[in-house]
Amino acid sequence: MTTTFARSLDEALTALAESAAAGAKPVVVSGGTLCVPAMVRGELDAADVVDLGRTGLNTLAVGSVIELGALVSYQQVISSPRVRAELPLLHRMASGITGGIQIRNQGTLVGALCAARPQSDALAVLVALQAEAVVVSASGTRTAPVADLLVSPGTTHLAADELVAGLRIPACLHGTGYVKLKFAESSWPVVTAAAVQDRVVLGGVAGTPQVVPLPSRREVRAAVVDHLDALPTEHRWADLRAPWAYRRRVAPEIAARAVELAEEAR
Amino acid sequence: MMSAVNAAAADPARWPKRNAFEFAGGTAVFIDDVRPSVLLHMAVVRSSRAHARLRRVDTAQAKAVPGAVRVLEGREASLHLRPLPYQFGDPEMIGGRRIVLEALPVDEVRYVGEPIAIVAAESPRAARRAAAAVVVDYEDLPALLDARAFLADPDPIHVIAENEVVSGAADEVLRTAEHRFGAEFALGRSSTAPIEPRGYVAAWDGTRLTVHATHQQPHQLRTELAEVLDLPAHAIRVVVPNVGGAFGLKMTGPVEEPLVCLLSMLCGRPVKWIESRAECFLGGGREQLHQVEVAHAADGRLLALRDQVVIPVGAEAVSPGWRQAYVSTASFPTAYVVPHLDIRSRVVATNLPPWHSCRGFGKEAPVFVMERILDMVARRTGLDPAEVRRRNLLRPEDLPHRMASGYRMDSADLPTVLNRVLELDGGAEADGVGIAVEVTPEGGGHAGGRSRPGATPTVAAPEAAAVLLRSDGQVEVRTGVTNPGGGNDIALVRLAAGELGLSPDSIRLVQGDTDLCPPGTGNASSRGVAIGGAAVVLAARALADTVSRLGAGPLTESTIAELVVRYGPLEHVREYRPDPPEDLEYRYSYPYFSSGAYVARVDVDRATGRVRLRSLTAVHDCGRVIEPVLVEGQLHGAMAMGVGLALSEESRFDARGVLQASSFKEYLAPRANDLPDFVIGHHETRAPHTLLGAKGAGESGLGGALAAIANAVDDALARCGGREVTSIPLDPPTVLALLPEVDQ
Repeated sequence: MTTTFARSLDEALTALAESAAAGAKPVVVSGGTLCVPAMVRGELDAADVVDLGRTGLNTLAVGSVIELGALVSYQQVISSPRVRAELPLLHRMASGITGGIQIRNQGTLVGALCAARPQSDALAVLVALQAEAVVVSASGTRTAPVADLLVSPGTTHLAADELVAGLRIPACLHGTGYVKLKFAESSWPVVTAAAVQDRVVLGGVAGTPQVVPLPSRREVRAAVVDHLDALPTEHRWADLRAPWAYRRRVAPEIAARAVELAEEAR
Repeated sequence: MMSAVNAAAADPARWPKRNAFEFAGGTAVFIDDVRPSVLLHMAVVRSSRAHARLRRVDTAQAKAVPGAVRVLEGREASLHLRPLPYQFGDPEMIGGRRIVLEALPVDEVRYVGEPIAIVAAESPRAARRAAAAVVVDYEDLPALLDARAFLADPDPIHVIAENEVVSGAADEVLRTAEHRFGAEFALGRSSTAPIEPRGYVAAWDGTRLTVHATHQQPHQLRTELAEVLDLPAHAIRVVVPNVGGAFGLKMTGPVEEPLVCLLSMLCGRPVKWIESRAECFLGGGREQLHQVEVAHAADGRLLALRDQVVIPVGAEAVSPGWRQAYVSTASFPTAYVVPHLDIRSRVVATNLPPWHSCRGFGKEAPVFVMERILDMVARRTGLDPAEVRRRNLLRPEDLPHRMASGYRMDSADLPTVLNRVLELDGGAEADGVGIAVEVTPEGGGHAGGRSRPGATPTVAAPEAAAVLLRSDGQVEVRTGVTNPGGGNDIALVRLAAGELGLSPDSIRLVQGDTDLCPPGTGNASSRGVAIGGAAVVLAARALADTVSRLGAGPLTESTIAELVVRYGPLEHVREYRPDPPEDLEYRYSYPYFSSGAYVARVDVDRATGRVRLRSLTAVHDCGRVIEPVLVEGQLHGAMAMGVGLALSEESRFDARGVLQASSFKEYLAPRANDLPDFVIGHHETRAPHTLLGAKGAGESGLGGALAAIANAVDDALARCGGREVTSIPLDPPTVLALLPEVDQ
């Protein structure tokens, strides 16, 4: 295993390009709270590791669009008064992140995106906020809506030589709500719901976040039921914590609670 | 400015532990901090099959891995090791069959995770890499993974023990009673999950083996190693550093114990093995299925109970875990009078990892079953659950009480602890309220029943202590009791200090060293203070008598130093065992019963099945309370574990027998934010058969908490048309399945 402790984004991209050209599947580490333990346990076998820890991608800039780098931790999001004011949904999600003080200070939103886990705290919120990922490689930069980047559990539309350098999230000041169902303080989320304007986005019901348009705020449950019942079987998500049938039964209520919070925040 | 409350909290007299910060901050020396030079590291090759014949174990590639020093599979290991001895006595004593097991299997593997081969290497990483390079060729065999599969096809080949506890004529009463019902109860498999997993460092110097181990029972480990390694016991020294929790996991018996020693002897270098978290979660226990039939009177009195129990204990083993099944059966009908009783259990070997001892040691399951039954009787009679309990509880005048199993309940005041906990419970608003009464046999051997004619009477295991003067002016206490981290060291020091008229700062305690400490049982069965403390008191008193006869006046640093110069250390060793009961018709088992009553209040989210514990209140009776803070610490831990077992902790395996709950993200032990502040009251019914009047603290609380919570959830469900609670853990999918769907 080779590990590159890149001192700049360019160094990281060069290392990625070399590894990808050699046919390897390099692992990019931002906070490392998911992939480093997985490597220690032998669950993730990486020939090449590119660590972004020294690239300085930890800036959080708040304008009409909030821009945050690949190393921005949940704690930075929590501590930012501007994020609290202009992206209350993101702030709320980060404040309740699964894990203790170490995870809040080490874990990153970009890392959560690239891990693409259905049991993530963050993904439904990023999709609801219409976040865009800044995807870079040695050959160029592109932006992609987060929703388009997520393919299936653990898989993204990132090429082997690409990494996500940061996120751009349009401000969303009012009328948002977030509810997370988990089974104990230590548990990963089971079902998450992020409500924004005319839609609610559900995590933990399918391999990727599900956007449910809401024609009327009074018909949330029915809209969620229709959406879930139309989900192809192979996309329905279940893990050790709960079977699909449980998620199908509780998701309408979790969505309705998120929408209720959004109403209150109008 | 410090508030009055904070001032009280800061009073060192209230917080007696001296090394709490070292434990909490991780700066205390634990097993992984033991790092001798030229150390090798062991890794274990584990079976990926639930049940298979071993066709070939090929170690050639593993031996070629850089850094690998020695690779050993079953055939070669068996040339060096004798079969593993049974822990805690012959299996036949408790209705069990006998098996001969080697540390590493030669022909057959019996669960996913069973050690097949071991590696010693220059680094942990090299050891893991070499272990991964061992190639195993399996021939799969049929596997039994589920107790329900056994029930569907109860092949006796799987039954490793049968136990029955019978009194009266349950059949007839159940046939003719006017009020009767049946129910099935299930307890999930759970684990112990100490913050520090197992670990050993073995160092062979050519004549003597020194083993550092995070362990509960150093003397028992020494005995086992002597037998398996064919060494004289005096050639082995076991040393236990600080221990980060044990809860039964660290009793003698796991195969890694002799294996790490063997590698050290073969390599001539020290060898360390530190268990990974995933390996630690392989072990477990507590899983049971109960099919009960209950007859009761219209006034709520229990008339008869039949229970057919299946207890899947994982793969057959010589370590103590499977013996908890016996204790479960023998502990019926817990705190109550049941005139006609018929409990029959089948202990079933499955193709999951073998049970290890788990806090509760089988006593929690009968509490769950009995407390659910009493609530079911209350619902069917329309009586208050507390009143149903009062009508069935053993009363103080019934004690001592010989249970149907032969267990002898020494003393308790069960109606009073129940009434007191009902008073202490704050009555917070909640969706459901549940109560439970728990009795916990403690302090000794678990085999009950009548003695066989002509058999030598069994006696309680003793504890011993040595107390001596040191030339530096301190008093040294050496005990056979070990400290799993809960703080029994502080209690022992303060007992000695009290007898000698010294400050605790003048006492130096030595624990967990077979070269220095007198033999003892370490920490097990909640006997460290009640029995080990009595030995310390007797030895300290003997020393105080001697000092007094020598006319030395009150002990001080300088008088101690002078006495040592004139007379030597004046070492006094005393052994203590609880008074034997006079009735020799029965085998000697647990010398005392702790007891308690519990009230849980819960909210249940009807849309998700999520349970939130609002309050948990206990009145606990462990006889004389010697150190209230330490007793409450034990009780807090046991109650928290009970909460986990009731709501979220489960060792789950997939259809191939592969562990799924292999980290704290899947095995959901409660964190502080999952728990309310517990409210604890003490009631003291002094133990008639121990010197100090103390009983055990440590195991009790677990069964009571879990049963009270199960009853509280059941109460909440009943109020909204839900079905009855019959299983734990009550995770949200389980609870939601009990709720009517129309709720949404």
